[in-house]
Amino acid sequence: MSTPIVIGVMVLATFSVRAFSIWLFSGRRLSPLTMRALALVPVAVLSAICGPLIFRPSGNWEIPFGLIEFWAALASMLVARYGMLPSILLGMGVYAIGKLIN
Amino acid sequence: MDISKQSIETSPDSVSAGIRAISPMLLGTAPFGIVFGAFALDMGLGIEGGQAMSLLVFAGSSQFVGANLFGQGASIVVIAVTTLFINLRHTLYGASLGPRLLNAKPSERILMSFFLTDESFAIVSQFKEVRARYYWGAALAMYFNWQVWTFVGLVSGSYLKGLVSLSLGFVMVPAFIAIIVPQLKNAGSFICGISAAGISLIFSDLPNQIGLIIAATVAIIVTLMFEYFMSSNRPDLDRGQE
Repeated sequence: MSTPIVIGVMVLATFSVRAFSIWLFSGRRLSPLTMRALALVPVAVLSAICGPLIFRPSGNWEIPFGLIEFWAALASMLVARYGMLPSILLGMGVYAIGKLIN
Repeated sequence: MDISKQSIETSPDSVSAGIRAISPMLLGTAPFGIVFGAFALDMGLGIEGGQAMSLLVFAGSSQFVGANLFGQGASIVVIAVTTLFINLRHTLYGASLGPRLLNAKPSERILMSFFLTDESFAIVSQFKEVRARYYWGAALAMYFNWQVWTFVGLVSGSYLKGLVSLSLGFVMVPAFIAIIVPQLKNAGSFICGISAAGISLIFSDLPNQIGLIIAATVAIIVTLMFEYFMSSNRPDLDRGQE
């Protein structure tokens, strides 16, 4: 199987999904319920991405207090209201220190 | 730029504001790009193939999986279906972003969708209305950033074999937390975030990030039910107080 074919298929599979929903929902008058559901999408999706990375980083069930990821996320959360940069710096700082100690 | 203090109504109408907003994330994606470059080389895509994948597909996790399947000699159908499933979350992104995009023609919206990633969506998701220039600033900055770091990974791939085995999943978590927390303004959004994170733990073993879609969808439904229940109970409470 050649590389261009693989990339071409991946382009189609990726772009079709991205374009379809933007096209479908653009310029349409949506009900308040749909608008509310869509407003919740960012929190829902980003939380669902973060959950396993914080609480199941190795894929196994573990006690969170022993996880570096848990403490780094907690630190990040505590300063999140001050902006993205402090959150990234503190979260990654705690994570890096934790990894070094372990 | 301090995103949490911005107006949440309408995004700024400038490319540079979009670039500034996403800039903290650019450094965060650098390790991913470098590792992808090294990984693509390891999987036999070559420098041209690896860079072409970043240029044309522009989807981090899909690229990793696609390169991996290619390296293992998987069939084209398997690669197509897997890529499709991994990107299903973009249907939620597109559905959420579509109605909020301002100053964008239909053809421009389709072009915009190509640059829709976790990071660019996270940046624009803070606004009720998103101006096209702001989106382009954030999205293109992330696009060029990804190309640069992929190239670095490709040209220095042989020196970075150890990096490929590193777990870099956590790198973007603090940035996403910084975006989620300011949006937790009421009980509904709080319940949504907690339930999405909790449900995703249960379904995280499912392949191709299906668990993510299930968790987000169930969390939204649970939140809507909660809000409906609360609002339908409120008149009763009011009457009871009368």
